[in-house]
This record gives sequence, C-alpha cells and structure tokens, in this order.
Amino acid sequence: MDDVAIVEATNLTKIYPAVIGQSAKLGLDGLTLTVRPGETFGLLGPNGAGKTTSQKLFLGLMKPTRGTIKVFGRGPEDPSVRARIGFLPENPYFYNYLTGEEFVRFCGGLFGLPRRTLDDRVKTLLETVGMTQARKVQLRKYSKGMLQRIGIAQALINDPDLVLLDEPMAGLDPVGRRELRELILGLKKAGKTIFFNSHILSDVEDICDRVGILLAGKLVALGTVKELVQGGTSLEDYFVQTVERHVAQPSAT
Amino acid sequence: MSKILQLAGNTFRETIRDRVLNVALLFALAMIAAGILLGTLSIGEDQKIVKDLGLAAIEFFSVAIAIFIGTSLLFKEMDKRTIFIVLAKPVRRYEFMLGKFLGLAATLTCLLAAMTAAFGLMLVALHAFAFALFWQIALEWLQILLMIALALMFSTFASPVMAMAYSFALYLIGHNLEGLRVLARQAAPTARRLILLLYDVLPNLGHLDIKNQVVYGMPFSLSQWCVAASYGLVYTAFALVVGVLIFARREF
Repeated sequence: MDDVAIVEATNLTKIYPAVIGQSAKLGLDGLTLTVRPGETFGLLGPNGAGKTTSQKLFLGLMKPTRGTIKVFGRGPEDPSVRARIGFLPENPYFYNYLTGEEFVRFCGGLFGLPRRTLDDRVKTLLETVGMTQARKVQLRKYSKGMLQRIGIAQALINDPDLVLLDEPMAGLDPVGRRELRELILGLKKAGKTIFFNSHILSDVEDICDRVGILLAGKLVALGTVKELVQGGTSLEDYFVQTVERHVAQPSAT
Repeated sequence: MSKILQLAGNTFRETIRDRVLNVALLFALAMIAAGILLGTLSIGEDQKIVKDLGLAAIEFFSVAIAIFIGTSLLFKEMDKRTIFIVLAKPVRRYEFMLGKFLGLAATLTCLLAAMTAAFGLMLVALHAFAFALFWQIALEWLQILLMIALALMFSTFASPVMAMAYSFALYLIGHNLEGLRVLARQAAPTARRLILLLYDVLPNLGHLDIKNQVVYGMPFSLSQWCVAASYGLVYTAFALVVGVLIFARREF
C-alpha cells in the first residue's frame, strides 16, 4: 500500500449553480479531510448534508467549485485512479435486463480484467455475497436487499484498494446488515481502505476507525469514535447533540 | 477498445430487447407489404412503386427508431443512475459515448438487415429484384448512423422530447435542404448569407438519397456514391465529436 494519503480533500467546495426556479445551492463547504491507508472512515450527516456530493467529487463524477481532491495522489479524472476504487451508490439501480451474473461480469469487463481472472472473481464474489443461487435471475426480479448484495459484488470486482460505500446498509434486513458488517470487517482485515456514508450509527460505531460529521456541507466534527464520544454517551447521542447545537448556533463547530 | 466493446455489447442487449423495436419491425414489414399490394393494384408501374415504397418504408422506420432510442439512451442512464456505476469505473467519457453509439448502431444494423431481407424476398417473389437497390440501402444505413450520432449529441444537453424534436427537425430539413438554396436566391443579401451558411452547415441528407436513380434506372457513378458515403461518415464523426465534447463537461 502506498504511503500517500488515500483521499486528500483540501477546502473542497461544491456549489450547485442556480437553475430556473431555484437559487444556487451549497453542496459542500470547504471540506478538508485526509483518509489514511487501511483506514475505515465513516461520514455521517442528515439527508442533504453533502455526503453523496463528497463521494461524487472523489470519483470525478462532478468537479469542485473550489478546492482540490486527490485520490491515491492524483485527480480522480485519471482512469488509473478509478481502477483502484470500488463504488456502491446509494439505492443502487442496475441494468434490470441483465442477470446478476451478467451484470457483475459486465462491471469486471470495464476494468479490463482478463477472462480467467474475471471468471474466478465473479464466482467468488457471488458466493461471498450469497447470490450464487440467484445469479441467473434478471435483476428486475431482485429484492432491494438482493440488489444491494449484487451492488457490493460489483464494487469489489476489481479487488479495489479503496472502497466507497454510499449508505450500504440501506434496505437491508437485520441479517443482511450483519452480513454486510462482517464483509466490511473482512475487507478492513485485508487492509482495504473503506470510506462510507451511513445513517446507521451503531454500525459506524462498530466498524469505523474515524468518523466525520457533515452538516449543511460543513465538516463539524472529526476524530475517532473514542475521541468524539466521551462521558459514556453513545455516538448516536453525540450526533444528535451536534446536530441540535448546530441548528441552534449555525457557526458552532 | 475492450471497454468500448463492453459498453456497446451492453447497449446492444438493452436495445435489442426493447419492445419498441418489435413494434417498429412489424410496422415496417406491414408497410413493405402494403407497398407491394399497392403496386399490384397499379397497372404498369407496379414494380417501381413496390421498390420506391419499400425503400422509403425501410428508411423511415429505421431512422424513426434510431431517433426514438438514440435520444433516450443517455437519459435512461441518468434517470436510473446506472451512469454512476459505469463512470465510477476507469471508463473515459468518450468510451461511454462510443459504446452507446456502436451498440445502437449494431441493433439498427440487425433491424435494417431483417427489413432488407423481407423486402428482398418480396421483390424476388414479384420478379422485381434488382441489385442496384442495395446501393440505396447502404446509403440508408449511413443515414441511420448519422441520425444515431445526432440523436446522441442532442441528448447530451436536451431532454428526450426536445432531443427527439431537434433530431426529427434535422432529418426533415436535411432531406429538403435544396429548398434553402431556392429561398436564398430570393432573400436580401444578409439573410442570403445566413441561409447559405445554414445550407453548408446542416446535414444534407439529399446526398444520401439515390432512390430515384436506383428505382427508375437512372445512371449514377460509383465515385458519386463514394462521395455521398464519405459525406455521411464525416458528418457522423463530427456529430459524435461534438456529443463527446459536451458530454465530457457534464456533471452527475
């Protein structure tokens, strides 16, 4: 693993330009953040706080209005950077005319994986996410939980060094959540760097080395769970208190 | 190249399974059959009417389907957010666009081949088959490629309905561009310059139409055909480049 920071955001700001009937909107406000190799980082925040915007900027799906973003020391517009990233978007919706296996294979093909490697990876990943039996079923017939599992499989097809997960627990039942948590812990053990957005704070507390809290596009808290949660409170209590403090006094950080 | 082929393969699978395609194919075959029926009812001119209507039906339905699917491909990717999955991978924007273009081009080539085969069989049955018709069908194929490229280009910045409207408008104008020249002769000098500029810039689909020559046995040279084909290919490449340049600047 490289010594350089895996993700390095400096004063990252995104302003969505005004469109007819809507004024310009601040998506992200001066995010400065470093994610280290092998770290599991959780980004928390209410809906519209800028979590998804951050991941889109990390992937080059949008360009920052101000500030810089480096992933593996380079800009994300460089395809060689994205070749080392696995990404699961929020509420994933895939090509529903493909079967689960066809879809994962298609994703692997976009990384230019050799056929034999691709065969092995597809088989192993479908087993890992428990989708071997349903692999020949079209995605249109999958439940939300099954789509999430296939989404995880496609995100890992390239054996990525950095895994970006946007609300990975959404739509999963308790068993599915536990399995995914174990899968993430397995990735962590394997030395992968994981960056995920989540609403489910108990999972974040269990899995993450460090967490950040985004409110209205601004990073208002950053540290290990232990650093943030003091005096026997839970991460959930800390999160709620931080949100309330910010609402009462927007300049507070 | 392998990524472009992956994306093209996926687009081909998506579009070949589109029900719209089956409906279009049925309509086109019905039109060809109607042309033959009409032809058998007209005394003397039957073979020419059959050929003329058949070629026109093949072109119209192929172009309509190219525009209909071509303008919705990118929108579907954005609407269903599948584009996040693809562009988060080491795929360049131009690879994505070319994949879409080639995939739909492959689907429409299959559609054209099916219609041509049906048309050819009907002509053989009527003892009206002529190889010269293939020269026109080849130009229709190039027209289809051009319309796919234009539909994709418009869809990089416009909604599907608007992109469809722009594409159909260009198709209709492109087939009646000589009218602009006539208009230019009667216009004031400034307007004339503008009209002539439009004449030069807009796609002149009349170049890709030799129906009269092949149906009525009028002469046409191979070099004339090659110039027309090159024009179609160059304009297609131009539309693709413009589309890629716009798409590369889009945010998702």
